[in-house]
Amino acid sequence: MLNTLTTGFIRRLKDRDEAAWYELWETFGPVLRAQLTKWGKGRIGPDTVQDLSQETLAALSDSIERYDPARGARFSTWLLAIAKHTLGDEIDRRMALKRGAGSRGVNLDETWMKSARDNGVSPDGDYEAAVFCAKVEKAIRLVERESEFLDFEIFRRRVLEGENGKAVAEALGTSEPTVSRRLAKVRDLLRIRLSEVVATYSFTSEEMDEPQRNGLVLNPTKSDDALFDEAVADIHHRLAELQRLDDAAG
Amino acid sequence: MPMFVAILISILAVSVAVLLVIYVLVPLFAIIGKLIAHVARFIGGMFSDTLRAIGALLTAILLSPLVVGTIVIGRWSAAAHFGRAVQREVGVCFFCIYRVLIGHPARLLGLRALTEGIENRVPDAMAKAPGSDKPSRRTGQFDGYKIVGSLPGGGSGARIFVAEPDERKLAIFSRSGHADIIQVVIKSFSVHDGSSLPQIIRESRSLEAARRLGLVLDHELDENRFFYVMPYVPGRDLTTATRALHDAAGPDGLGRRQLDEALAYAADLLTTLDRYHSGGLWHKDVKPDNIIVHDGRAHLVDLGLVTPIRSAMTLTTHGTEYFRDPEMVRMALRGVKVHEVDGAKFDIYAAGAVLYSVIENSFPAHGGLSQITKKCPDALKLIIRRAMTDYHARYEHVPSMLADLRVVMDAADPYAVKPADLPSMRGESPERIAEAVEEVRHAASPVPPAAAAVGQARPAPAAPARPEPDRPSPLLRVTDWWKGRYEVTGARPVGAERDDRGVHAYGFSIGARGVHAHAGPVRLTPPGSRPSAEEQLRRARARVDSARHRVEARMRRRTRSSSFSNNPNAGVGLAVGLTFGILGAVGIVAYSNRDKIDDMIRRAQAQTGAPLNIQIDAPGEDIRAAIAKLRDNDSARRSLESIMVAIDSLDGIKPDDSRARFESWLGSAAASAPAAPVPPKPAATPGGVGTILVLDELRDAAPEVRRGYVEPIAEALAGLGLSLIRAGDSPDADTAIAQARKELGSIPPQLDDQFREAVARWLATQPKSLRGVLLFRWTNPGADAEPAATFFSQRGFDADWLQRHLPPGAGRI
Repeated sequence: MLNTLTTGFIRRLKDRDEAAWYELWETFGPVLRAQLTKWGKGRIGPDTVQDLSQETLAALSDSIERYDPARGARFSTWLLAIAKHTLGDEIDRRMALKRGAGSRGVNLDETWMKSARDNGVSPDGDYEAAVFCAKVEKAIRLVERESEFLDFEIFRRRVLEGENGKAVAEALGTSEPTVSRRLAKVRDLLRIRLSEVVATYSFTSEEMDEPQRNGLVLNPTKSDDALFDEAVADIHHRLAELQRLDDAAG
Repeated sequence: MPMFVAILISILAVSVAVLLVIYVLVPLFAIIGKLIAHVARFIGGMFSDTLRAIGALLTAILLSPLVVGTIVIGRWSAAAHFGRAVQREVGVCFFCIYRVLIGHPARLLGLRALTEGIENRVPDAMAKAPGSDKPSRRTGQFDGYKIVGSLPGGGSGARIFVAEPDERKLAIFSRSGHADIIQVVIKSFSVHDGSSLPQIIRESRSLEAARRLGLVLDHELDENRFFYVMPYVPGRDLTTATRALHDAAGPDGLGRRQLDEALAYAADLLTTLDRYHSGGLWHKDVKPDNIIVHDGRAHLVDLGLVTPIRSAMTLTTHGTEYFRDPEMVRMALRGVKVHEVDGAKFDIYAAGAVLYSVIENSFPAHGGLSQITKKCPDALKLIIRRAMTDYHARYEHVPSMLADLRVVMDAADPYAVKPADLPSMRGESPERIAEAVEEVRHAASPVPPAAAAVGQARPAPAAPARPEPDRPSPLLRVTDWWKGRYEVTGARPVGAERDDRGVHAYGFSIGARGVHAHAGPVRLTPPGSRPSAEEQLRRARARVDSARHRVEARMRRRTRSSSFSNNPNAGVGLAVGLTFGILGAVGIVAYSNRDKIDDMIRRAQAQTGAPLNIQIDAPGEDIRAAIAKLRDNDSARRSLESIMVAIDSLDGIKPDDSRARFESWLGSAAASAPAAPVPPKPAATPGGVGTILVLDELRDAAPEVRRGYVEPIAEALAGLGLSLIRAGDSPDADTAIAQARKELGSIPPQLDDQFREAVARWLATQPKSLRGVLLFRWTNPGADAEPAATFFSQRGFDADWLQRHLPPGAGRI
């Protein structure tokens, strides 16, 4: 079932809000590029991948108008289905051109609207992980924009780079209690933004529970903070590694 | 008891065997496996490097004609460029040979192998090839400049030339503070060359400001074309320089020396950016590819996207991904105007991204969240992050970033500098930061260590002179209300000239390090002590002469490396040598084949006795008349005929066809040439080069028979160009005949099919030059016996033709 944030975002997409499109591109572009590179390996080059990932996003608005929320597809499945369709369309177009025929595209298969388990469009684990990591990265980015530089620097060193509180305090010329206080501030903000991002880009309750499954407790007790920090750092590094592999493959 | 002992021994034996397997055999097999893998790597390496060497050589051969071709058409820059490519390929080839001969064998013996990755250089060389050295007729000439070369145009569609200004232009540049200019870069946009109007407008919108800053020396716009002139600085881009730094440093990151060099480049970049921003410009496309490193200095180039900071236009999303602030894109998509934002902050983001790419040897794929994984001082990490953080939290202006960077640069140990030691982190008051900014802004830019060898050349503005800030009105500050004392503060007013001798007409001046106010009495030169007008003119001329001499001396001191050079390099020499080597080899092969052809013709000549030089004296003469003329000359005719003999002797050509065509053509030529007298038909027509084996059963015949029958036929055949192998001519001939007789068996009195088949089989085993077997024998044994000649033809040789061409006096075969 779509929530308010999701429908609001989709409305912006449908209204051709360029900022919304850029936001989608900035957040999920790398994931789509990686997936298209994986599928089209040997058949399409990096430039085509770039074009196709943009076409994939362009196809979203048409697709979402026919979306039936009752059928239970995930957001990641949505992206995957459209990316697959875009790539297939491109391959068909190339083959048609080779044969000297026209460039008629194929119709989008809408079986993706069903649950991933039922329709056979089953994204693999890496792809699912990449989509979720992209959501977390998006939330971190939002927090960076909203936080003071020093606060986020503390968060970055303490959580993403794993430095201890004392070292961070010494490096930045502040005290440990200040580090803890500012870190808590950023962490709280991150939880809020993460909830929003996950809600914006999730279609199903299964997706909504994804942070919980990955150790990101959004309504925590004090003891959950350490686990939350560890999970954020792990996801951040995982996405960086995916990006590195993507760059190496490209 | 024995059973117990046996069991015990068995257990012990099994245990020993298991231990043996675990501790001896398994490691042994592991070692053997490693050895096999080691040898396999050696073989694989030898194989791949051999192929790589061959590939590099082939690539060099492929490129060599391009060098020669570009030399021939006068494109010296392109020739030098391709020459460098050839040089690289030859280097790779030699390196692979070295690995095959030394590197891999050494590795096999346990020494560490060298690794090397080959890039696809040819497309790169082709993509970066400069255009024509001269502007096309459509582009037009550039008045006051002599074009000496060209540079790759980049993505803007502009044509870029390297030029030398004439004396008039040099004088103009010198007056505007650019006395060091020797060569310039002309970036030309012409609608005839494919540039569009928006491009021209975009490039031209900031030119006046750029000219004031000294980034642009000259520019011109007419209805068809637009060009601007910048100082020329050779060098290589920062991407290449960064790669070289990391190659020298190793995989962990930059060492101290490389770090110092990288920081110096960053400081140069920031100094230049500050100059842009002070002049009211925003570069908008700061990236490593647009930074040229030369002689230890970094120069920011490419004015393609330069935008006035106060422009009323809407923000655009132009720029380069990863070096463009995502926030700028968001703002552009919201329709924000340029003057509503601080464009300098977007340049700061790009500067941070450039610094990141220098440290990491990669691009910041995650923007401000990109991880720095290589060795880097802690404080420098913070500088990068502060530059790339959110728009509102980033450095306010370039000097504040430069002030932070200077702290790291000046530290004895950059790794010991804590982020908290940076000025921006000290929490100093805005006034103090503003002072630090001013200090940095007016400090001289650092001189980094010498850069590596100069590679690719790009247009770049030389370090321009700092523009003079706007001249504010002087301020009078009253210091003593009672006594009416006051002091003058601020800049000198318009019209005041700086006096190098330290005499300041208004008590304050603008120096290289800022605005200086001078309190106290104003010193003016008394009118009586002024020199005469003539004396002033003389002094002025002396100063001009002195300045000119200084400039000339400076120009002479300029190293050769600082000028654009399209002189032939080692690669050009290699390529020319390679090309001529190949041509020489082809010539040698052709020459050796020519010898074979000559041999064949000489053989034909030996048989006909005719000279083979055929020449048509008058060029353009009608071929038929020429042929007719040739027919007058018996020698020439025989030469033609001998060539036909040679043609007939070639495999796969039917003698009758070619000869019939030739004779028909020759006859028609003679018939259609009325002026030429018809020569008498020769007594004999050659039938083909070759030999005929003679089996003579008439050896014992009466002399009359031999003279009357055998000898005429033999002479007639010889006259047709056929040589006869006859018994008694030579030992070889005797041997050949004896061999033939042995294989053919006895000759029956009546020739039957069995004998004919035996002869045919034997002939099939002989070379084609043996045209057949001529058998002289008696027919009708007894009193009615008559001599007869029977010819057994080799396959492909027409015996009827032989019969037709026998002279009438000769006997029949």
